[in-house]
Amino acid sequence: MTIDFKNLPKQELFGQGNVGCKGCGAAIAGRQAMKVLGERTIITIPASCMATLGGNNTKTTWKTPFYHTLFECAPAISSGVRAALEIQGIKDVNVVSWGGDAGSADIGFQSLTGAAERQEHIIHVLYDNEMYMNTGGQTGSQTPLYAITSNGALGKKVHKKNMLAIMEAHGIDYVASANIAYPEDLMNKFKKAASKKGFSYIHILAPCHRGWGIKPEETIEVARKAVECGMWELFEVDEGKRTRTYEPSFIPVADYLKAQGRFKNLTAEQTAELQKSVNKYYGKGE
Amino acid sequence: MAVKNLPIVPSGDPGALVEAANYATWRIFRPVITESAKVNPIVTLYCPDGAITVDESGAEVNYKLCKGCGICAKESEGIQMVPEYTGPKGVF
Ligand SMILES: Cc1ncc(C[n+]2csc(CCOP(=O)(O)OP(=O)(O)O)c2C)c(N)n1
Ligand code: SF4
Repeated sequence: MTIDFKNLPKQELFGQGNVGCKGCGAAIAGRQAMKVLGERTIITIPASCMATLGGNNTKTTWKTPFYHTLFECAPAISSGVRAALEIQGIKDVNVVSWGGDAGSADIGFQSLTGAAERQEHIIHVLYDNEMYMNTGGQTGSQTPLYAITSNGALGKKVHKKNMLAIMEAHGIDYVASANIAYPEDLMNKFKKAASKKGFSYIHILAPCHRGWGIKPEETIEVARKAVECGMWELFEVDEGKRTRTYEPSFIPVADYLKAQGRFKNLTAEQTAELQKSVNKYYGKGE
Repeated sequence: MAVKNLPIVPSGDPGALVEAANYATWRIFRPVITESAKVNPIVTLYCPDGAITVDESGAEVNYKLCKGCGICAKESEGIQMVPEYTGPKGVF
């Protein structure tokens, strides 16, 4: 990886003193993104861990304006913020709605699809911990197949909804997947998104050690395994052109799954079935 | 009351949490820089709390911000996690 650390902004716009758990994946995603987005950024956040860990009342970790919206409407509020900036002729501000998987793919979906359809000039980020963590780790549409959650002791019975494909189908300017273990790739994608005149969507896999049944120090390691085994593809769709931005090394999917408590009941057949579908996806035979 | 007469609620200084933070009590282990030259600067982007800095003068941990998650020690050489409490064990 080649990150120019010398020229990376020293300023910490988000993260220091946050009230999240130790080893929080969402906080890591926020810090990496803010290094690129910079001071001239307005953030809207629906109910989620990210809303909580930013602080409250008179104590915040954000050094940019941020607005805690209702659960359903962060992209709608961002649209309004953009309209207000435009009418004042302010052009150098990034407007970002930053939602969890529930705030983007489930409860917040209607406002997200609406803003994308209108091609609003905003960036929407889905930081994906694959559960409703702020309320104790319930199953949602972004929970993967077979994962155990606090209200699903037997594991999820159906597939994860493919949000990246759904957002791509909106024909928006920019769609990208990202992962906190690959900061260079993540920051490049934010740079591109910030340069667009229309709607951008960035979907970041950000493990939650509480929900995933891993140790706090394994947050980055497990995130990396998700990419290397092929289950989390790093790609972008830039104005319709799809590119894979990282070639994984294809470690066995079992390495990724077995590292997590939420997959502790996975049978050998289920693991083999998941390996088979990854192989098929990457055109590596059955 | 007309909207324009509503009092302005004072809001905090942006980033006020940074000054107020003290996460010493959260830690079971603390990261200690054992070999500054070996520390990979990537950990500055992996640390969730912005608690570690790496520059020309070396690597440094801010122990007011660090929660002791251990990510930096796992992802880089030159950092070791040591127990915060080293007193007698099994007293209770
Ligand atoms: C309309 C509404 N329904 C339910 C809630 C309760 N609630 C707050 S956060 C949350 C889960 C958020 O999950 P997600 O978006 O995945 O973010 P995470 O907490 O996992 O980071 C729920 C259900 C709410 N605040 N508002
Ligand atoms: S232990 Fe965790 S919080 Fe402390 S400096 Fe290392 S990565 Fe940051």
